[in-house]
Amino acid sequence: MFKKGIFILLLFIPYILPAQGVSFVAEGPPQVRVGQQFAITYKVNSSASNFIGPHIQNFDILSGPNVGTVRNSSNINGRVTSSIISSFTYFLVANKAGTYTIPQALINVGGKNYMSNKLTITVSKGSPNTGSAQSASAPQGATITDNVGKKIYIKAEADRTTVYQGEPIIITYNLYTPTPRMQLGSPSKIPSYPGFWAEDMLKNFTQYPQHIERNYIVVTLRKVALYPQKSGVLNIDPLSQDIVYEVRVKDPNNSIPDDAFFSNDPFFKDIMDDITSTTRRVVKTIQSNKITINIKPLPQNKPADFSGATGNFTIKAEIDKKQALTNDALTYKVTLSGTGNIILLEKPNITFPPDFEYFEPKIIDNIKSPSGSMGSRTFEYMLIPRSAGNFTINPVKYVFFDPQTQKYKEVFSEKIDLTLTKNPNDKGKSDIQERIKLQNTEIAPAVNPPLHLKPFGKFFFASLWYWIILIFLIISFILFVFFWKKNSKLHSDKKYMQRHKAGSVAEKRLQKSKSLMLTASDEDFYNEVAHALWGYIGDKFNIPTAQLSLNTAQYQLDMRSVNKEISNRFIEILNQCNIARYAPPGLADDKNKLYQDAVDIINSTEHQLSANTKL
Amino acid sequence: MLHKTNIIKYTYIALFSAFLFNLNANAQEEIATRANLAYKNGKYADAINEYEKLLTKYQSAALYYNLGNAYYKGQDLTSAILYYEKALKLEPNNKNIKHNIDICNSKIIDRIETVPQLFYIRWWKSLVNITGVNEIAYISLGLLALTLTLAAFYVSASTKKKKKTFFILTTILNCFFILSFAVAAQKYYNTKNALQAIVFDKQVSIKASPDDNSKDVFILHEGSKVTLLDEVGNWQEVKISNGTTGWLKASSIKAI
Repeated sequence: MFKKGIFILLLFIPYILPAQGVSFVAEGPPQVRVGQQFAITYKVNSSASNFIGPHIQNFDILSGPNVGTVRNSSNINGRVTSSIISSFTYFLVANKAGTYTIPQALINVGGKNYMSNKLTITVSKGSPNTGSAQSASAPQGATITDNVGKKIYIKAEADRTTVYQGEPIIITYNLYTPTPRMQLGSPSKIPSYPGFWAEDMLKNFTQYPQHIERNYIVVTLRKVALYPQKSGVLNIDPLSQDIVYEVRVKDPNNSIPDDAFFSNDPFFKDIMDDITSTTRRVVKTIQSNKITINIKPLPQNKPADFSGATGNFTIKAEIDKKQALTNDALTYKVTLSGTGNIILLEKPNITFPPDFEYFEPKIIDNIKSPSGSMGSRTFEYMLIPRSAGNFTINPVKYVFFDPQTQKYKEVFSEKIDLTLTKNPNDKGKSDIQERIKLQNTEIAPAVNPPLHLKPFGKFFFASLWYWIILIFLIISFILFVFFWKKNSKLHSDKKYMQRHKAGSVAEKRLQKSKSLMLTASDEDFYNEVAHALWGYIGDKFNIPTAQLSLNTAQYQLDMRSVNKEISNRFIEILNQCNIARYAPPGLADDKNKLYQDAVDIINSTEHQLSANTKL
Repeated sequence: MLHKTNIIKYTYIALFSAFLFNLNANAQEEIATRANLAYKNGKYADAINEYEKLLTKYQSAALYYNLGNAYYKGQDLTSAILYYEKALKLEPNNKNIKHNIDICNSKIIDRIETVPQLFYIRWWKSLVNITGVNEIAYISLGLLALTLTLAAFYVSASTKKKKKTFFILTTILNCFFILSFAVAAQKYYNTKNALQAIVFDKQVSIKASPDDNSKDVFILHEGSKVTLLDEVGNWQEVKISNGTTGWLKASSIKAI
């Protein structure tokens, strides 16, 4: 029992041993602020597989796990050591303040699972002014002078705060900075605009536009035109932006005592500060103000064909040619121009004349202002007239809401008249004549009863009778073939036929002998009877005539187990015939009797033989 | 004994029902006579009414044809086309039906160019339309009987020359039988199932997909014939003779 235990222990040793060198550690900052991006890394000093990351709550995962591997080889005194460090990194962002724990991660090294340590991260409230996490490395007791950070701010401005639904609002986010010694990081949060259609007005700019306003440099970070899609009081979220600038850090160990004689001179103090302090880069997130916009719903008396457009528009319709051939494409354009939500304009409702084929319009925009609120939108239709004649494309009506007058307005395009002539390339001129001729033809007359009515939906094909007849035909053919084959097989068998016909041949000969009974001589008669009897024996048992004798006859009859009585009688009749042939002429009665006997014996032999074969 | 009485019973039933059917058929033909009289007197609505009474249970090319005539005279071109087409389906070679369809088609709005089909499809179609569905069924049985008779001659032929001749004849006839059977099957399928339809809406937009909001591919007017393809809900995919396909509401057409 004990030995067995050691053995089991020994079995485990190889699995335990390499495990001693494995370290699987999670690293991450102990403190972050809300909105700050940071990384946590899981490192393992071995090549590993099956990394199972922690279930991260309370943080947003920006990316990860990102896998990295570092291989180190060192040659110390000819001894080569190599190490591998695999890392799995998550980039996270904290959402709300508090202290959170990131649970352990799991990893598999050499078939064994390892657990990392837990991470505890404190998230502090990230007010824009206190957020200087990057400067945390400043020496203890150092005083940070942040004169600049307080002065940089972002202002969000709307050109108006009360609009009608569909009326554009332009929002500008301006960054005000007193110093050019700052850099812009990435915008950490770009607001989304739920309830609006947003048009980025700076999308064609490669640089932020700048201008100088009093003592400030103003950088336009973002400018959007917002088209309200619904009414109500809507809030526009602030924009957050990371900025990088320099602050002075004064080291207390390296400072000039305050009681120095020039310490009261502010100018000199500044210079002294410059000398005694170092500069440090600081990253700060600053946020714009919120904007609240009041969107008024459109008045209730909406016309039925209201297009949804808000603004002030004019409509124009044009066609490329007023006289055309059939089946030639025409271009028909409807242009809506003016101010308003041009980029959101829907196609007008157009009814083309019948026999005009048309396709979905191509939309061509000609926007004159970056906000998209000025310019024109053209709907280009391709029309293919199919028949000749004079046609009119009726004026196109467009209904929109004019926020200026606060009324719904209707505009109409011009009416367009078209003259279409038959395209000479179109074939079918004779076709038309044919048609006209046909149109003037009287229809063929009605059929007089009987109308040969048949029950609805009943057809002969695939009906029961159809199949019965079909199968009957096939079966009768098969039967014919079957019997024919059988028959021809029998016909081809001579001996069989001989046997088969023996009875009837004998009968025929006896018939003949009967006719000889009165007319011919006795000898002929007896000859014929003997011939019939012998012939019968010969045919029935397939014995050549040369071999016929009373003995063979007796033998064959016995062979086929013919009744003794019958076989004896047969032989006796044969004998009688032989004797009578050479005897003096007998009475007619004798002849008759012999004939009768011969007929009877052949019949009974035939009976007996067929009865025997059946058995 | 029991057998005998049963046989007698069934024979009586068979005879009686045949008699009833005959009686019924006579009654139907009487209605047809009335309808034809109404037609002759210009009372087309009455004629239509009578013919449609018959249509509930019976059909024949002549009935459809007469009904088509009544509709035509009653100024309902679209219904006329529908019934002429139904008649033509049963009697594809009837010249009068074809003539009347041509007249109707010359009066409808749509002119659709017909795209020629592949030659073998054309051949097959004209083969299928050689006769009506019942005639071709009889023909196929006749050909089978003839084939088997020739085959019997082949089996029983005594000389080699005769055997060869009958073998060739049997093979040829057998090919004819198979062809006639295939044609009968196709014709049966065509007649039993609605493969085409007539547009009944004054004007209908054919959509690119079975959806009200989908774009219009083309427009058809009443009286145009369409070939039925796929079906989704109450939408029907159709093809017109120039090969274009599209979707329309099944309610805007009536199947032939």
